[in-house]
Amino acid sequence: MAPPTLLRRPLLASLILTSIPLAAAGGEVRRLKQLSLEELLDVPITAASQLAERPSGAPWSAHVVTEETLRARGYSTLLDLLEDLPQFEVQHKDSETRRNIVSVRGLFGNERLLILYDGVRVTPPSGNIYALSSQFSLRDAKRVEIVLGPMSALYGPDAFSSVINIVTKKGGELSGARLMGAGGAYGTTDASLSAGTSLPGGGEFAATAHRYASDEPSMPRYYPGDFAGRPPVPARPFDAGTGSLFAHARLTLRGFETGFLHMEETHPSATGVRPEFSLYAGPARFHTHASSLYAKHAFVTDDELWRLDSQASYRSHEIDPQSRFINSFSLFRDAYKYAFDRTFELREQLTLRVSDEVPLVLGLSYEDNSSLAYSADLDHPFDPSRSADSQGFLYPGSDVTDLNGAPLGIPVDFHYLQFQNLGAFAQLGFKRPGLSAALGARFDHNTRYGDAVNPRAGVAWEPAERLTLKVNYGEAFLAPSPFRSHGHFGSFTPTTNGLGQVTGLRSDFFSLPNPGLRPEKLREWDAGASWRFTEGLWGALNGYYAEVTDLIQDDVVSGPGTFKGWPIAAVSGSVNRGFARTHGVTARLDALTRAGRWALKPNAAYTYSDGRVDGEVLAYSARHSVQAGLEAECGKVSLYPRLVLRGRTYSATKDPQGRLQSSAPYVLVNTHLRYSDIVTEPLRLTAFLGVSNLFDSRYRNAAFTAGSVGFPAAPQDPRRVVGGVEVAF
Amino acid sequence: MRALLLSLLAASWVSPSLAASDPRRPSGVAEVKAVFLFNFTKFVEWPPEAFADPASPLVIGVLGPDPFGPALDEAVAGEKADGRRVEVVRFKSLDELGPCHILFIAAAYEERAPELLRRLRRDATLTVSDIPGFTARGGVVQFLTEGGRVRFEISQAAAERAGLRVSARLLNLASVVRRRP
Repeated sequence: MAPPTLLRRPLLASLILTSIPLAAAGGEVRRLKQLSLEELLDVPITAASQLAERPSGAPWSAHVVTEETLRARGYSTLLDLLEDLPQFEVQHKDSETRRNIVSVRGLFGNERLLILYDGVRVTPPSGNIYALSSQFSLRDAKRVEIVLGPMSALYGPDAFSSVINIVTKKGGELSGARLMGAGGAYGTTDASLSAGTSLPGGGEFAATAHRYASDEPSMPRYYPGDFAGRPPVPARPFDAGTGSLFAHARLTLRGFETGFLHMEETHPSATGVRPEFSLYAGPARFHTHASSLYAKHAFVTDDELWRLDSQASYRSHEIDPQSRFINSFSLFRDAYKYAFDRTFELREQLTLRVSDEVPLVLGLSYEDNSSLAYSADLDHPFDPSRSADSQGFLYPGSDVTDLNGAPLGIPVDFHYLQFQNLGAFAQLGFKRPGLSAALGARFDHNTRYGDAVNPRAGVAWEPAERLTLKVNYGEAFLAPSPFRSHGHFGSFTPTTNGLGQVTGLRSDFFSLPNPGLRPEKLREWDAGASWRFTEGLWGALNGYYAEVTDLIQDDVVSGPGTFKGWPIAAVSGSVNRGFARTHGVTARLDALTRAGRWALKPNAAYTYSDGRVDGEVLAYSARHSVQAGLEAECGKVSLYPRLVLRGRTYSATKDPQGRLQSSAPYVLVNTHLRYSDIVTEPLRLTAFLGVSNLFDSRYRNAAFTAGSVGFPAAPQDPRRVVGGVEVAF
Repeated sequence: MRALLLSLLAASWVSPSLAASDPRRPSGVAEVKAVFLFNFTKFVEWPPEAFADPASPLVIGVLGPDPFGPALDEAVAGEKADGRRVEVVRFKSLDELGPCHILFIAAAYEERAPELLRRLRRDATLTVSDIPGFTARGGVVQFLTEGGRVRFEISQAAAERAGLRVSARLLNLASVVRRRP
């Protein structure tokens, strides 16, 4: 791995070199009119087109990533994309349940992100637990829109740190089929099929399936020191395979649209955990399903003075009943898990064009949620078709009889939660050349957590032709998820007298529910400026400051306690940590230039991020990050090398001396090579090759699992090469 | 290899200085597309009934937010197509949409494109847009950006349905020609 200092000179050099000449607009059209059609086709276009892809006129801080960029850079899933976005940070392979953890502007937690496909939410309600991995496919995406900062004023109480909307292609846009097949190192296979067509009567139908599977690297081979430990049970072959499935279909007919989306993800339940405490074995998998079924209708008057969008959706999220841990907490027996969330939502949104310059958005939403909170460890799989009480679950280790013959078995608590959320929102906009603004607020009544009002305001102003300034303020509210408020696990051990007779129970460790958790509240300010230095060079600066009250953190060990009347040596659980502040700034440069026949689009962003909660550094966010890449295209060949540099990143866990654990700084280089349209008749054939961790570095991400059970920092994948072909017909 | 990549990244920020007379000098996408729109008037033939009389202008319409700014007006200023004046008309909404020979449909109409194209199906209108899948949905010309340059697709089937004759030269320069509906 290269020390970060090696990067300083080229990056500094890149910051000071600019030289594309300016062209006067009027004269430019006259010049272009002198060119033949062939010459016109050969005119390189400037960064203005890149600017057009950015919602620079919108008041919010946002990114829009087009299909062209997704393909050129080889982003196959949302996770690939998030890794490269400024003010986002991903800790890979560090959580048993979430697999990867995303931080946005210094605040970590997948549950603080709201992810939608075509405007329909796919993440669980109230930020309940989900793995963020390869199941969020971008194979049928034509655009990904990412808004940074709280957006509760439009999307509801848990649009906390970012809203990501993946806009997929309609049938007519696909108009045919695209088959992709790839394979590579560590038994990785990646395949997808998208097909779509226009239907008689103006309808369109599109469907996509995407499946990923990998044996994953045998980590003991690459990190022998980290994986030297042995569990106190007979050895099994190392198995840390992962997989995912994405299936999506949408039918549009005039103003109506209906769609179905299903995602599955599976990964080792030992993720981020030392092998002496958890088995990396075939059955020890964490497997989740998510499905959404929706219907939408848009009515627009011919004069376009108003538009009514109606949406009904039913969504379910489930931890597969076969998901299980085999670890020290379960005494290396199968410990099954189960949970579900089911949501029915109705949403109405009316957009009125009060005048050409003033749009007004009014809306109502109603959500009905039912959840079964994350279960304790179960000694056999949960049967969703039967009531929990009828399935005879006892807390692990309690199924014993004491010396008097009395059974000590303690039935497992299951927490079913039913709650509703009613929201009403309004947003008034103002848009004229050079100035746009929005002011909005949303009122929510949640039957678990009462009322909340979240405002949002933003202004974008172009005081000069090449300069845009933005200022935003927003608030958000995140109710504690059932996972955090009611999830619990642990096991008992019988206590015995000198004769070996059972006298009672005790436990070394229990993670307990905390129904008294308070919602998190966020207030965030951000400001930015973007400047087009020349037609080929564009820069941006964005800073933010956020305050969170009652920040929730998982797995905080609080010391000894009791559960069901028996003593516990160490109790942990989710707690409100207190008041947190985070602030940061990003400086970014994008350019478009040429070198001979190559069109080059370099980009680089440096982010400084810092935050404290109760005086302690905020976890899972490096103070210094650099994300850079170079899109290089020559005819049918494109190459995208990119690098991510992270400074030291702290985790929320501490070593035995009470010091926060951290991952060391690292540089990661990935690259994607593409040869498009190798043949075009009778079908279009494209080949590609992706290499992640090009220099085969050994590096780690910040640990998530508490105490000495987890790695001090989670070991990351060695070099991985995956190649494939895509056929469109 | 690491040094090579880093050097490439740094070098890519060094822009070659191109002379003003160089046809490969970079230009704004709006300007290039505006000139293409005007050029289409030279390489497409409209049926005689598409014009009220020999003096009628050839009308280029823009539906929705205008992405061209002044570039389109500059592209047609003082120009004639087959002896006719070329006019630019902007339509803020569908309600205002009137007859035109070339209609550029702004990306804001992406959702309503299928309905709009159905409405225009038999009109002698060369429909043009940046909307993805535009030609697959029945539009005639779709602009694309490939390799940092503006490209276009043509649906010959949609053109024929509209009674338009597209010159072989224009068809030869298209990235993709759709011959089936």
